[in-house]
Amino acid sequence: MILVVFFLVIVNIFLWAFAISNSVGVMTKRRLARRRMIIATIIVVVAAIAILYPVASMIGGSFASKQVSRNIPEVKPGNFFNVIKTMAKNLVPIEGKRMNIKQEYIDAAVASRSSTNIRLETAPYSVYEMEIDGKRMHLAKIGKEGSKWLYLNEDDLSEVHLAVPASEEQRVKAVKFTWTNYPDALSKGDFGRYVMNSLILVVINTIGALVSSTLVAYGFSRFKFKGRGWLFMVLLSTMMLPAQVSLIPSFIIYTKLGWYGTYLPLTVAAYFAASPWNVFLMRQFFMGLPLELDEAAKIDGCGPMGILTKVIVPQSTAVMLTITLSTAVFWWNDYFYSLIYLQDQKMYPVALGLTAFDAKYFNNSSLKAAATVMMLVPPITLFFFQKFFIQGTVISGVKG
Amino acid sequence: MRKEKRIVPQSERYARWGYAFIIPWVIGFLVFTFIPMLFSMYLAFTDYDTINTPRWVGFANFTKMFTKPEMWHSLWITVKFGILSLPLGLVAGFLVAYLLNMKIPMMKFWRTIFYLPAMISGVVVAMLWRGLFDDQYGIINFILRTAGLRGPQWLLDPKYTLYCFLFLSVWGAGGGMVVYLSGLQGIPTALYEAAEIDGCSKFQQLIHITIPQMTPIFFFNLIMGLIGMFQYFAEPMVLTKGGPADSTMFYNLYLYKHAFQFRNMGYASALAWFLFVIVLLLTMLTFKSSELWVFYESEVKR
Repeated sequence: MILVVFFLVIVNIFLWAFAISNSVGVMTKRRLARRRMIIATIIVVVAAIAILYPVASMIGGSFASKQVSRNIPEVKPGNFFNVIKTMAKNLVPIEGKRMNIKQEYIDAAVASRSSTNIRLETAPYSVYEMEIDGKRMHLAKIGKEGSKWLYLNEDDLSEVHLAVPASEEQRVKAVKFTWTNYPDALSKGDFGRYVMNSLILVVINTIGALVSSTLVAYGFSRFKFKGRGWLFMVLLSTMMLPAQVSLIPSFIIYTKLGWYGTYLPLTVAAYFAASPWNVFLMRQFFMGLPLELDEAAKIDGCGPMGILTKVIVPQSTAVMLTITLSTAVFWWNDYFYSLIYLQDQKMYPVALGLTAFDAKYFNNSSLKAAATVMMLVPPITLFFFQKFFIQGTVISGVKG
Repeated sequence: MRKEKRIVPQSERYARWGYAFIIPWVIGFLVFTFIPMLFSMYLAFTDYDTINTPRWVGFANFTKMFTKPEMWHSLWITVKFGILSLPLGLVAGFLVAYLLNMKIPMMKFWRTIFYLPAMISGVVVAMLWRGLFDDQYGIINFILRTAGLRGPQWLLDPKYTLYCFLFLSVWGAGGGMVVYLSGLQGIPTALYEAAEIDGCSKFQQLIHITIPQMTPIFFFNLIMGLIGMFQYFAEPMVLTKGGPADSTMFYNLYLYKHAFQFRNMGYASALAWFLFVIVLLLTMLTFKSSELWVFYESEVKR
């Protein structure tokens, strides 16, 4: 319900933007266009922030140290600026501030108290914001004296205060990045092994998909044979086929073959052009390549295999890259197939491993965040090649 | 005579090469799709737990399936989610594409950001959002509380769990944006120029030119979305495991549970075939209805 209202509001803003830009008659066309552009930019920026926010807050969380207990954000009804502030705070790891103090200041402070009932803390010392004699100051707690706490003024370390114990809310907050979550996640919960497993799966499947779909697409695009159109229709219709229909028998067959719990069920199919999308994409691309080069190569004495490796493949780096990237991302992200076919946790690829990791370290949210971010990094890195992804989506989407 | 016979015509020789090249797919299709499909059809009429031999039970699996309220429940959940999320995703993706097509500055940068969710694994998406749905610490309820509303326990209250997934699907709508964007760029500018001369406002242009021209792409994304709906798995599996009180037991999850947790392979095969029939019907329905609302350039020329 709330979502629908929220959505209607967005649509309204959008329509309203049009209404303004249309109703003002005196405006010149250029000013109208500029105004429309500004409104569009604002909406796009807000939407982009909404998309990035979950990712960014996860990245922020991955740098927090384990000891930080999350505070429930303070609600100020109607104050939406506070929302923005809190959201921004979630993006950076914030902890209670701690500081180191030279031993001479500590010794001087203890000497100045001349009490035997002092129990000193160990460094680093927590810093609190407190009001003493009507003055707000930052005080570092160095120890206890009886029921009171002993503080040093952060700005003037020779200034000693004895005051009531401070509460956790009075802790001075500071941004502090902890880098150790990343190496910890890799070494602790087998996460490094999961990453390696995924890389193996990605490489094997990508090679299989590339080789097999190139061969099949070449067969479909460059040779005339009986039943070609019919077979291609079968190939296209398998795109629409829900995977579940063949999933259960495949599972049974693989189990009978003794392949359950190995990588074979996850990889073998790739070598037999299992993805009709790849074949379709590749065939569309090959159809667009000029036939004259094939003819020239044929005259020079190239056989069909020679034409494929010397003429077609060198021209097809773009579509090959598209397929490489989409296959790699698919297998890096795969959860369903590995969940079904793998048993041993040591063989888990990264997506399935992440859920195991999540269950094991359920109370260490920053370690989990670090692992999640590591799983995010490769697909985001591949973003530099986004042109090829988008090309793939567009070719299969629009021309199909 | 003999010599001539041995010379195989070039076209036929090439036909052989053609068959040779598509052989991997033919084998793959038979071994990984076609034979399993037949086998699955057989299994649907048996009782099979992967240990004992399959026992023929006739239509028992189907009667069990159609009389079980759980199956209808999971089907309803899936359809309901489809009805809610597909139009929302369609509109959101189109809106973003439309705005980006206004040649706003740094268009490539924004496009990259909107495409980002499409690259992320469902498991990670679930992990990213889980924290935001938290009753006390989560930002969603925090915003609601600031607005003076009391937010629900998103992932614990069966009344609201399904709506959590709406957030996820709208968030990921940018994956479809790319297709819309290329569609928008394919609309001939002459149409807009003509409309401009006739004094059409931008809004009228959107309603009368852009949207009709975009219908084939809406249509494509709708079908893919429908099929995708029945494959929805990783997000509910990680976020809710189908619970609480089966409120997010999507069809695929239900099938998975019966096949790989209870090892009711016969029953699960019947479920898979029912799913296949539904997807087929939905696709056919979409194709049929498309005559009413999908605009193709070629129809005008005829």
